[in-house]
Amino acid sequence: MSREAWRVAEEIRAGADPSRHVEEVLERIERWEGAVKAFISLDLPEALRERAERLERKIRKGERVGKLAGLLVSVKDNICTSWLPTTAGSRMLEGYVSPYNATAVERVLQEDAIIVGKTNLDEFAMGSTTELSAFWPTRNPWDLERVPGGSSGGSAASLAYGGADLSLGSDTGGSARLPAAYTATVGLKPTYGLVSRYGLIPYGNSLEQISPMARSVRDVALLLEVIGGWDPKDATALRVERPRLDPSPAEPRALRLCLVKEMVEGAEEPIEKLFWNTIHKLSSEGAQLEELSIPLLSKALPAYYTIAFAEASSNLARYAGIFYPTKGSSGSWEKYVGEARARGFGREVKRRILMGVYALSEGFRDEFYVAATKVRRAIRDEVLKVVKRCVIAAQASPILPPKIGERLDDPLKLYYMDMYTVIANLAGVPALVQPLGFSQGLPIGIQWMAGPLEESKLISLGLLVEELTGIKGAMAE
Amino acid sequence: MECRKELLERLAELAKIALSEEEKESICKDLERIAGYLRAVGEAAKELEAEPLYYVWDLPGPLREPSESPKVSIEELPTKVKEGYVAVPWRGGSVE
Amino acid sequence: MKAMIGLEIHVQMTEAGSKLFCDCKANYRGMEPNSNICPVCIGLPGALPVVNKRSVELALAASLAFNCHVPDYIVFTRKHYFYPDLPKNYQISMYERAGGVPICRGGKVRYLDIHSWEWKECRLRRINIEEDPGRTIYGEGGILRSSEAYVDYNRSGVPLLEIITEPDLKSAREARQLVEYVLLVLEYLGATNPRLEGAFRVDANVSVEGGERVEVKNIGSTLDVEKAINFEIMRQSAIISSGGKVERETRHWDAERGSTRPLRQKEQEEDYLYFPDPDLPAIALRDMLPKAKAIASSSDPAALFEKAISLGVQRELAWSMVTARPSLMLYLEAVERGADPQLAARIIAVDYKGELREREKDPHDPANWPSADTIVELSRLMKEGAYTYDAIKGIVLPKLAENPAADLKLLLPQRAENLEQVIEEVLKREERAVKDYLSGKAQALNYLVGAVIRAAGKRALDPRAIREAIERRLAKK
Repeated sequence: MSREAWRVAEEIRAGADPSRHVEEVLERIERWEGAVKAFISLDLPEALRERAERLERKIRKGERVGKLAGLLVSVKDNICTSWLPTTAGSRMLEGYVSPYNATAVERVLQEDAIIVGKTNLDEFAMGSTTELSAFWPTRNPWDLERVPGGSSGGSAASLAYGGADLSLGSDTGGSARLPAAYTATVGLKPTYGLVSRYGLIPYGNSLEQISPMARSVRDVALLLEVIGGWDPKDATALRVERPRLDPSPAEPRALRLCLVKEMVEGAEEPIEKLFWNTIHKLSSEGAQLEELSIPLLSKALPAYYTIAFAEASSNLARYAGIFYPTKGSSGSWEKYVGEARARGFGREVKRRILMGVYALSEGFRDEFYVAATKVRRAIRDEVLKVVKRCVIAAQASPILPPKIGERLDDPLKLYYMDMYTVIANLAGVPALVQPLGFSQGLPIGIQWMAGPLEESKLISLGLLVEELTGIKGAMAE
Repeated sequence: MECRKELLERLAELAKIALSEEEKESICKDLERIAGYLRAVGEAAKELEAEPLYYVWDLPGPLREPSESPKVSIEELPTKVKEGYVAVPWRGGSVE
Repeated sequence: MKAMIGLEIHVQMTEAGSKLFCDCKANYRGMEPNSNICPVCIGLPGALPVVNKRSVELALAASLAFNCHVPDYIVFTRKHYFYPDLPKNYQISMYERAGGVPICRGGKVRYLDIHSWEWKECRLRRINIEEDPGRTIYGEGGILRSSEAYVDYNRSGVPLLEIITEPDLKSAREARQLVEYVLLVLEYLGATNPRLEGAFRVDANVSVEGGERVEVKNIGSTLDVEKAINFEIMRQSAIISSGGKVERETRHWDAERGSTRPLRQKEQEEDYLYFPDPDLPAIALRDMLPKAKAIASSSDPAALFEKAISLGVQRELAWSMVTARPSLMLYLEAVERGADPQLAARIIAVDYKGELREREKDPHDPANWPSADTIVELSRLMKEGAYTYDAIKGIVLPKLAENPAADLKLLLPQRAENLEQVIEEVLKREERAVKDYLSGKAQALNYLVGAVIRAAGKRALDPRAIREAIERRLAKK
């Protein structure tokens, strides 16, 4: 079952039985889910079968059939669904069912996709390994001793073992791209504002986007075409049409790639090696290369974390034991709230909230939060200057997927994993991570960044790279 | 790095998180380390002549014309409802 | 003792249609508790605010009306504090620092002191647009001891104007007049109906010479503004003249007891962790300026007051009309269509208004006022000498107040010509009564008047005119 999802959808639209595809995916889940634990909640097999049968009737009647006909989509559990719980990976929301669907979920359903379940994540998307889920760590299907990356680790893992054709993840500082790199899947962080955030449980509002994830570049493009485009419910959504992405590979001779020192250097050796192999191959095919340095990028990680923490501390203030499942026990309001929040949040979330409050408090706001927003502007301006003339080629992760437990003790070590990915979030530009190959059985990815709303450039480049590497639609076996 | 407990307590009060003594100890140390790391932005910003950037595209936002959208029924939410009102603990003692 | 008073006036834009950031209603009166709520206004995870255009237009018109410095863009900020009626535990508000930009900075209100008939000035520090919290009621023991609190979120998210004055006011009466005038302006702009329960609340900062500033919260009526401030001035003056010190604190106005009591000592400035709401990009005002200017200039009560005076209306009458907007609008329209300015003012501002009061009918409800054509017609009839003012006042106005839409022809008393005949017939028939009257029994006259009215059928008659006609007729005998 290594067909690409877009092909599966086309076959179904042309008359193939969607139920058969549902069974295929259910078999994969049956085989893998116990070991990987990618899902926090799975819809009932009967419910999925019924969706498939309904779709089949629709096709037989000759009604309009959507672009995602019969595809199984997994949805990160910080994206609201009205029929399955949405926990954001937190005790705070254990069992919480949102009364409404996220805009992206609505759009996926309108195109006749079948939502298979909700995927695991680091609590409130705060983490880079999916070990910080309040429920359980998700394992990497390529090596069960290792993490799938995070925070959209459940989504990536579900794709890597074939438990879904497509997945909706979210990316605040690399949360869709890092897991893609660790699982040999593809993750695209869209231009800020291209995809509606309505229904995405916020962590760092000014940085994040719901992000399409899949096993191939073309599949990611297909999902972006469905979820992208203006939504009146999100004031930060750009007033643009739904994107149309041409599925033809880039012409190498027309390519100009920029290699920014700060986004290329510093990765482990096998990653560097594969990275440069790919760049040299592209260059030998005719791509022009330019090397440059943006020294300010050394401040990207602290700027990113300062802004994310500040926004998170505010976003998470609402969880006070009133509207949500985790309650306090005292009868006094102040104590009750303190208890509910102490019980409901995990340690990393507490750290981030406290650090965010610190960064916003009188007397410290200027040296933390405001300073970070100034650094952000300078970084954005530098990045926009570069992406005007080239696509940036960058590392996706400085390290290979770590072993479970390896990076848990030291928060700074954890933050360091995002050093290459946060830049696209700070600058608002789109970035794609796709697999390049494997080292000792562990996936290695590469990252491309283009200018605002230039997702099509990333897609055509990604398609070209798929041709070079031959890695497309890979699944762990 | 030295840990300032009064600062942590003030932050925990503002964030309304009841921390145990043990948690205070470890989070306090973590916080000092993280803050030490993040302090780099304060230094960097001093050398920049940049205005803060809050919304990455710096564009004006949209306004909403009246329309209809779905309501929420309070009964659907995991909250305590009394005669239509949301009941919250206020000055009561222990409830467990 | 000399007092310095500054006010924070919170006025709901009850007429804005919808809440500030969602489609729920701005006017929630008469609704079941928690029936006017949606994911946005109770802050459910993932729901996003989008600003209501009408609210900004009205706030802009108010800012222009109060001669404010208006910025090119406004920026909403989050203000954090935990309270049961604040579902997100932050309020979307405005702030003049930390990246926020309020809609008005540095304005002034010219308001009328109706005791001296002088225009006075009070500077405004700023105007914020913000969302109202829900409404909390407490059980037995009230806010200080109730074991539970009960919250209705119907009000949560209603657009508020927070109008903050400089401490320019010198007496409780001035403060009250300022508030009344501000409310009047906002009513004329179509922003609020100040008579709705809970449509506005006032906090007063009061200090007397030699003491610190004390904030009095929870003042809910203009009468209470005067009472609460007077109470505070007396209380503080008494402390100082007995050698004590007035400390900086926040007090609560208890309208039932007519006194203030301490709420909390302000040991340290609260920290609201302000920062610009990352869900709400800045809003450009330029495109809205023409409309807001038009609203502000066509609905200025001061200009309309001057207009009435320029028509020769006594200022007391003019003011009386200004304070009931439909009456002033009726007056101006009637005069424009040819009604006599003096007669129309007397009808509208004195006698018809008196009839409404007697019937406890709301003079602020346009449906309780007759049409401008009716006033024009009444004015013409009096001018032409067909009826005396007293006839119109005694017969037509009471009936018109009963039914303002009634046909004037049916309400007008019969002319005297017909009446002479009827009186002649009645006097012939009622020989005994005539005899009684002539022999000095005064009540016989009332009987005769009644008999004439009955004989005239159901036609509207002026009893006083009949009485005079009978007296004249019998005097001849």
